[in-house]
Amino acid sequence: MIQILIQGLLLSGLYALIAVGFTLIFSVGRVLNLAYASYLMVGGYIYFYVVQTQGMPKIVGMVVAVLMGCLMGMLMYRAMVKPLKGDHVAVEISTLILAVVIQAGIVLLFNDSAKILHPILPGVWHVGGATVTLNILTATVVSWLILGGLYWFVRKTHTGRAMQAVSMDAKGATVCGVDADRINLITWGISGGLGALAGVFFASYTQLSPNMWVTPLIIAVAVVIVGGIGSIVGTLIVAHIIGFMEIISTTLIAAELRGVFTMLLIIGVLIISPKGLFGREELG
Amino acid sequence: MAFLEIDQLSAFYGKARALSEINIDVEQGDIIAIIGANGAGKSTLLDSILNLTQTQGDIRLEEKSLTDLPRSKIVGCGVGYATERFNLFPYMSVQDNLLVGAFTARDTIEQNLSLVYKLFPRLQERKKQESGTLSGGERQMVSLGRALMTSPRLLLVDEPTIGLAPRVCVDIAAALRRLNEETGLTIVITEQNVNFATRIAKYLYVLETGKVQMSGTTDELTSNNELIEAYFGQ
Ligand SMILES: Nc1ncnc2c1ncn2[C@@H]1O[C@H](COP(=O)(O)OP(=O)(O)OP(=O)(O)O)[C@@H](O)[C@H]1O
Ligand SMILES: [Mg+2]
Repeated sequence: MIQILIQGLLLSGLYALIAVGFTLIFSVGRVLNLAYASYLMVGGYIYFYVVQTQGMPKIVGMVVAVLMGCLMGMLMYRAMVKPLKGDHVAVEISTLILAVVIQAGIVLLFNDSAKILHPILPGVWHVGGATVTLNILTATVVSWLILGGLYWFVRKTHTGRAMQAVSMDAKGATVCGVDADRINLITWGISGGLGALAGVFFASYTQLSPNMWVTPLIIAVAVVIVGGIGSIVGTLIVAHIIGFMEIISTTLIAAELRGVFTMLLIIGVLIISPKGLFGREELG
Repeated sequence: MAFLEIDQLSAFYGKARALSEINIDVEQGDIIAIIGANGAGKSTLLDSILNLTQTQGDIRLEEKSLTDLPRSKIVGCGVGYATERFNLFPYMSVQDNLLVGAFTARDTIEQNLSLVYKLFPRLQERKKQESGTLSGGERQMVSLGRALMTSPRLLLVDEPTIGLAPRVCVDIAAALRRLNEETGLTIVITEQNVNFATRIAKYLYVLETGKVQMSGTTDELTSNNELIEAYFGQ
């Protein structure tokens, strides 16, 4: 019981970190970036290369991964999303294709065998009869810190409020002197960086492989669809619903069910409540 | 040279022409009103000043052409635009709406915030409330307040009284007049409500299907039977 509770909490924290960059883009730009999980994969592989191939310190690996994620996000916006000017289907198709292309690139550079990342923080922790790896505990704590920081940033800084403004009313934001294009670029950069960081933790929790983008993408899509929201608190709530559902189903029913309930939940919510459980897409 | 010069302005939505060769001069410190029915092109005219439409012709503020400037620069030059009320940020608090208004005028936040709250004490009472849950009149105050947060030298106001009770219109008129008198702010409003427009504006421009049909001082036009027939319906 305690085990389920703790595992659920930790996994949910990781899921929230995975999803938040995706929901950010969705609410500010109204774009479902299906290449989002490529940031996770690229982040994971860059970390692997810097830390385990080049032997540099872990923190360097993380910083490089995050910077590359930012760059990738901004490039994607400038080169692909902006020229498509809000044509949603075109954006979704081209981001999905890009994800497959990036997968091919990863296979080319690193071959297609799975790689194991060393734990970011090795060791285990025993609490009330449950065992927790310090690795996932770190991931969760970092996730909470980042979500807290992002919440503060979005609400308390000029740029953050401008991001909310663009997500709620583009004309209103423009007449306040907010350049929506620049805000979008910044948002894509933040999203890419968050994705890459989430990728490092996700890969250290599972493993690195060229198809590792599928699971996080499903998680992120599930958070947007189930929540229907760009709210950071909402992301956290839905991440917990999904995280706990997965822990409960895999420990109590069968480990093979990992991910299945998440997908069923997506379909169920689409049928019952297409606007999501919270019915709002704007950032806040 | 007038403070604001709108010179042979035409505006387009794709191929459709929404404004034809508009000429309007506004002197510093004046209040002028553009009156016209639904679809006459009032919002298009104000949008054009912010470079939100495709235009031909020229718009100059103190002899500086605005037509090729990026929008954020136009706001930075001192053009504040109180848009129609549905362009607020509905899930943000009143205060946060105002703070977004200060995006290009960060050094004057404190002054402007106290000016707005002095003008509209109701907004201070409700500063934590989400703007989407406000009444129409309160939303109008937020729209005006948000534009004032940009530290404007020229304030554009799109149909401030639409859908508001007479009582609230009086308050809005008082606020605009007070701004004009106390700070010398130049104001351009659009209206369908001719009574409201004549009450505060010194000059009137009558817009019909994208053209200025008539213009003059408020006194001249209110003694003009044609106008009275067209807009007062008598
Ligand atoms: N985004 C747009 N795309 C195409 N046509 C538009 C657009 N916005 C306005 N128009 C057209 O331009 C003309 C002028 O519209 P505008 O909104 O400026 O009128 P208005 O005087 O503000 O009307 P209202 O009192 O209803 O607000 C109308 O014929 C309208 O259909
Ligand atoms: Mg209008």
